[in-house]
Amino acid sequence: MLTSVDKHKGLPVYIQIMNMIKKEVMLGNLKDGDQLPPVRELSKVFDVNTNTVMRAFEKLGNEGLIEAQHGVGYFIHSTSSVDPMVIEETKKYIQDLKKKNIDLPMTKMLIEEVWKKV
Amino acid sequence: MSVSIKNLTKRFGSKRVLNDISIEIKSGEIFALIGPNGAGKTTTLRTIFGEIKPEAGEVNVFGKSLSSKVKEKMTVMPEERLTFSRFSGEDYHDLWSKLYPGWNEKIFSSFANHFNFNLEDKVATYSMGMKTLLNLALCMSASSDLILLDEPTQNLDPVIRSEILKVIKNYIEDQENKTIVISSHEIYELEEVATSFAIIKEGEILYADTIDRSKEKHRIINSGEKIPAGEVVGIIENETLIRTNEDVGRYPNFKEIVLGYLQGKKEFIPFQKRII
Repeated sequence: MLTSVDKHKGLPVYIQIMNMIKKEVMLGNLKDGDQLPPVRELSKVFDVNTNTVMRAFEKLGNEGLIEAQHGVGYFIHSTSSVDPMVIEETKKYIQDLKKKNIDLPMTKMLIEEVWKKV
Repeated sequence: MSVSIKNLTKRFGSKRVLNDISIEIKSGEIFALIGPNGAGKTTTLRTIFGEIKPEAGEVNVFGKSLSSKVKEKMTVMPEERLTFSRFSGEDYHDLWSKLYPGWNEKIFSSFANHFNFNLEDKVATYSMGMKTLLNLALCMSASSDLILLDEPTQNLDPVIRSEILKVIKNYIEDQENKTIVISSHEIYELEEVATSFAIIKEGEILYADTIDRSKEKHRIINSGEKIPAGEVVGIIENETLIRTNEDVGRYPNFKEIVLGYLQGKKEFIPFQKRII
């Protein structure tokens, strides 16, 4: 799901937008060739100005994840660097944690700590 | 460019209030002027609308120097709000609708209806929140391309604050080429609405940028960590704000950036435990 960004976070807003779109691709909600909603519409969804959405799109374009078609809009590009297997692996891992009665806040804490160390 | 300030210097008596400041404000932006009391925020706004003349420097609005023609497209909400003690809301409405050629009656009525303005009453008897809302309604009904708001949410309750912030955002987002400049020290609020900002202290601009780019250019590192290549901006409790291109530490939030610049490298820990 695409939602409004958190302006009070340190992470720059355009990176939050990039991450949300990448996440949608990983989840399979956005597929190769899908057209993204118009920038103006997305600026309402993310609650940012259009320049910020454009900035995120520009960077996603540089990474090859989306393609601009002049006068038409922005499209998800197939050979993305985003691996859909990530979600399958995450599912298995989360199921294990749930079996051990570990809740979401604890999972987030664990992931953050382990992330810094691995 | 909506507002362009170049090398502005202003003294009040022997006190230098603005010291060679330069600011560029693009059209379409909500620009925040942030700083402690007495930093020069109000003086800067007053020079933008020509209420005071600087000793040196230049102010351009919409690419032109100030004139009555330029002023038809700009409005101001001063910090003290409205001051004519005998004027009713209706009097203000009449005055503004005659002063501004772009006056839009529909916008004013929608404000008046939504916030239930008592237009027959003297504005001096309005609450601070109502005064602010009426003033904002006047500024916005004048179809200004540039609105200057001095401390728009000061002394207001949270509901009116959030209404005002919503209206400010909506004014910019749903119209082309409008600009709003806000002076405030409500960092959290500003982060929700502003796109760009300048930090001002003792009459000098310490830093100016878009909010997003400022986060990108700075990092927070723990005092124990090794300081990477870059400039140490300030110390915030146990952490240090640095300006760097390296991907180290974590991104600072807006409050940390503002505090880092305003506090600088001075630490004040009067009650530190001594380890013997």
